[in-house]
Amino acid sequence: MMGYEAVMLGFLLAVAGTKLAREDDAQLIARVADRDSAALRKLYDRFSGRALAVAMRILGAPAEAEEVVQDAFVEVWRRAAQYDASRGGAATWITAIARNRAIDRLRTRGAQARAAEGAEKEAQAVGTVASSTPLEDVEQVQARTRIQDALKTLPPEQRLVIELAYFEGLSQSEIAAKTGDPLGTVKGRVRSAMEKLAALLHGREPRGGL
Amino acid sequence: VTCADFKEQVAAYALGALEPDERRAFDEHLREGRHEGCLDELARMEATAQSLAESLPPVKPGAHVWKRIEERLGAEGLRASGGGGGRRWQVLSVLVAAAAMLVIWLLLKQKDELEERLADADSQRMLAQAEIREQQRLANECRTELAKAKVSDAQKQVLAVLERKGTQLAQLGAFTPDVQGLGGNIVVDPDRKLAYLVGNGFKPEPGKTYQLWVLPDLEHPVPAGLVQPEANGTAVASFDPSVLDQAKAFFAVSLEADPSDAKPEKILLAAAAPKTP
Repeated sequence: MMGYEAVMLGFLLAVAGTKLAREDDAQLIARVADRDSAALRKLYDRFSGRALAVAMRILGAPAEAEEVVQDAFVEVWRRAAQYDASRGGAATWITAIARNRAIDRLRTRGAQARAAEGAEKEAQAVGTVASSTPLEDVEQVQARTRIQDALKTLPPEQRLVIELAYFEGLSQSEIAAKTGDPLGTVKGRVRSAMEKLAALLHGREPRGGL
Repeated sequence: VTCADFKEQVAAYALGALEPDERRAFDEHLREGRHEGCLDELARMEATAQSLAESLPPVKPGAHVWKRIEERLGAEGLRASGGGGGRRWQVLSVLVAAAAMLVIWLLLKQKDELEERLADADSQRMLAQAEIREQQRLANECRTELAKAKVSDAQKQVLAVLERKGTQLAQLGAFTPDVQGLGGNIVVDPDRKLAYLVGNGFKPEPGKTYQLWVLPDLEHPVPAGLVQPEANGTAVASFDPSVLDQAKAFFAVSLEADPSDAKPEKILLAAAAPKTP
């Protein structure tokens, strides 16, 4: 029964939250571009949890990951006027900023070796993390479960290459050097893995591959 | 870079896995006017890459993180209007002009408020319609599940309740990531003499039982009965609908080693209060 009250509080808050009308993300970014910090706070409330999760996955260190979240939202403030909604949603844009910041830090501190050592363990960890937080509602949990299930259907070597690329910022040639596989094989695995994931999550048949 | 080249490597582009010179060439290609599906493929792959981020449970930052962001914005002289900055109207020198502006502002504000109220009403109407469609979908789903299973007396009763006008429904959703294939609905008849949980995917574990809970608030979970699955994994459990009289009740289904315990041990499914289709 540990954490029961916290878990239920999260559920109740989430259910209550879904009943409130959500202001459109793109409108909030436009308000941020007009120097409205209240709008930035709303974006922070919506997306900081995911940004921090990605930064922690990349860096492993909570304190450093929180600094990345700070940097990311200051960058959102500065670059809001450049946001182009036709290129993707606010969640994608903000997550990409946080991810890029985290990857930059990872490269700076030369911790790729550390990350690579943990790659296999981390790959297994996807789908088994159960630290549900008050930020999530039931729908989010269901969506996350669906993505985790889709990831589990990928062959391990395909899953490894996309995780090395996304969570460690490695290029295809860097992945080839790290895994010892030919570059062409790595490229094929990246393409096949992403096609399969896209087909499972968004429809359309994969083109086949390694 | 041709469109075919771009589409061949668009997955790596979306993952950020291209070499710097490749990425520059691809960026340049995207700035070209005509494409053969490049932008669609890019949007699809970027959404797929984003799903990797969404596979992680969100982690709430500490309160100091936002405080530090505010400090940094302030330090950069970027304090904003929403943050309570020091902008003030300077009207003393042109009182007549200011009065005119005030009148115009009030008129515009009134117009904005009316438009906002109209938009709110429209939004509420669309939400209500969506809710009705969702409840109808749940009712159909429930009928289908029951029709597929071997129909017991309890299931026949639920089918009868589903046909009655005013029946209330709520869908039980997965509460933890490890719940696969487990689902169900809460069904309450219109005059509230009967209430049911209709579930599927239940797999009995030795020494453990499924239990239904009603949660009027955090501190007082009310056990609403055990859920006994049949051999095919379906379960119909009836419970006293009077527990629903408590305001803002939520439902949960838990896995229990000791059903006499006063609180749920491991919550698997959860649902908000039932609504009328």
